[in-house]
Amino acid sequence: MKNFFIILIMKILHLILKICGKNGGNFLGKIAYKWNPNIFKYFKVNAPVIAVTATNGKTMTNNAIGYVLKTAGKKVLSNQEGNNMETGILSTILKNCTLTGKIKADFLVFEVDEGYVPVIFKDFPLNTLVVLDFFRDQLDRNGEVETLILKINEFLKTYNNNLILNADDPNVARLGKANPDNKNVYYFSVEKYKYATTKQKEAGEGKFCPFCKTKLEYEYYQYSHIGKFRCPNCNYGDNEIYKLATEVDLSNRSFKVDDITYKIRFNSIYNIYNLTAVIACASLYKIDTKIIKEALSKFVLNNGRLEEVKINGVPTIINLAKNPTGSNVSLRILNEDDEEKELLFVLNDNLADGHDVSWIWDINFDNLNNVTRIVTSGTRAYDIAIRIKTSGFDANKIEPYLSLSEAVENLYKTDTKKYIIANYTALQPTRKELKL
Amino acid sequence: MKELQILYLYPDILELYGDYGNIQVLKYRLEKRGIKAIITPYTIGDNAPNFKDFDIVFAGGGADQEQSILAKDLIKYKDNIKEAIENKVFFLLICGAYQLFGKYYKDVDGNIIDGLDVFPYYTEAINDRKKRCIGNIIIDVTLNGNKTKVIGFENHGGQTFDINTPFGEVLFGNGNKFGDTNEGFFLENVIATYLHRASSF
Repeated sequence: MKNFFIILIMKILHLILKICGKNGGNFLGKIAYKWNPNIFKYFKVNAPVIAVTATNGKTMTNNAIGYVLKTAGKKVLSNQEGNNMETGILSTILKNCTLTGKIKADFLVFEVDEGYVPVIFKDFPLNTLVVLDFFRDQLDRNGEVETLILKINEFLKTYNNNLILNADDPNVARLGKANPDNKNVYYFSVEKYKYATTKQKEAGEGKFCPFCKTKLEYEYYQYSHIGKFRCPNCNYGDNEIYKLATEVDLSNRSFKVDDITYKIRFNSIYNIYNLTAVIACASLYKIDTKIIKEALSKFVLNNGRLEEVKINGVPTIINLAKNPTGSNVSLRILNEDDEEKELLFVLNDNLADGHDVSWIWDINFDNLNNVTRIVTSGTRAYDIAIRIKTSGFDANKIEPYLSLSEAVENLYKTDTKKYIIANYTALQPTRKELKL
Repeated sequence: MKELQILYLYPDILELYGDYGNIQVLKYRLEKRGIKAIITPYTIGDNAPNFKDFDIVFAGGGADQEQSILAKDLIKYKDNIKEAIENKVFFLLICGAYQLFGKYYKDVDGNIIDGLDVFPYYTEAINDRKKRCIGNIIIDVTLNGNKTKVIGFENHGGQTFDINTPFGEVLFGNGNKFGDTNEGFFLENVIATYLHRASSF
């Protein structure tokens, strides 16, 4: 009864918010969860529940899976905007369920914050969990990466449904062994790509085998600590691959899985991983490959995930980067482009970003390719400016502006191609300033 | 051109909080002063370094698990390190490295990791993974007779005891322990601190 009333009140609140023209974010979920933290048990779900978790790539992958399923004619309930903690997911469910807690959809697809997978799914059903990667991120909020992995590993010990894991991330692949009785573990991987290296180029984790503590050996690194690894002692890393991406061609924006060529809208190795995970997930649910191919050829996310736009006619690429890996991947794309370009880096240190900006020293700004000017902004505009200066970039060509509007105004004084990197709370204000 | 030999310990392991930035800033500022910075990395499996051959030895912070692995490696060089310190080689140690140069480190599960025992201090983590000293921190430091403020970010569960010569006086933040007045350790040619991204102003 209690839950019935909670939902009734939430529905009324939702209606009021709608009338006032407000979205509400995770407001409904916050209240409902406070009233009854066990409310997740109440819902009646008759559809597969798919969850995506990772340090980087959740929103992109969550939306891509939803898009593929929708292209296949399925009704999908998803937290597309990215409210991925218990309150956000609860809000999404509350807006779309009946008063008796029935959810009407063919599929539920959620992106879930790494720390909240055990919290939500101890009470709510889960049929497929996709884990993309684990990198250092907001260490002051999350504690160490190891802490997060252990939490999820603990949850997976009694989990018997589908588990889709990145075979090329030692922090992720290890989760396949959490429950040795689970026969539904599937690995995805990407063949060595053009810019893979034999030495690790960017900051990363997972250097030691989580099982026997021996230093891991890598045949190659794709980016950060993602690559072909093996433990020379216990052979950790040797997994049967369910879906393998081959013939990665970033300049033509295509790759192959199972002899089918997928043409996509992105040109980053990091996205090849995400989309291979999408293909693995869609395949488990027997979605026709023709439909997957069609969906991925069109899929694009217009909210700062490798967003390509024209501002006053000037080609501009915007990417969200919340941690060293995200920034390094953005800079990889920038450096793989030979054209003359200017960079805007917007760095905030608000609560959701993490107050500690030490991580910017793990971004590799060395040898930027044909970058003629760098503008910085955000609450820590000067920190990032100094960090870039220390890498050897000409200090006279670095312009810090605490005011975002000044930064954008000055950035567009030239017609040169722009790359914009912004962290979490900086992204939407930056897009707003660009009138997107 | 004048040269400064810098030994960079475990760059692939003790680099969790962007502490590599210290090396980058050192190199940059030395070069601006016309001094060449020669940086030699050392990690597990490399040939043993002779600590006395260097002008500066630097080591940053890392994750608990990785720190316990390298502690076993670093302890092999205990005597070499003590000699180097006596020979006035300069040591800059951040967070985990700071802890390792003491008597021991007791982790959150109660396990004792032997330190190098170069200095008499010791560190114990609170029995609760969630209790850590985290936040911006500002300290007053006296360097070469001049008082200066240093700002940085601390993130440590370990509480360090028995410090007689701190690096600085805490103006805002925690320091060596929750609510401590002292931060770090400073004795002649050794600076050890919990401050990541430390800058003076």
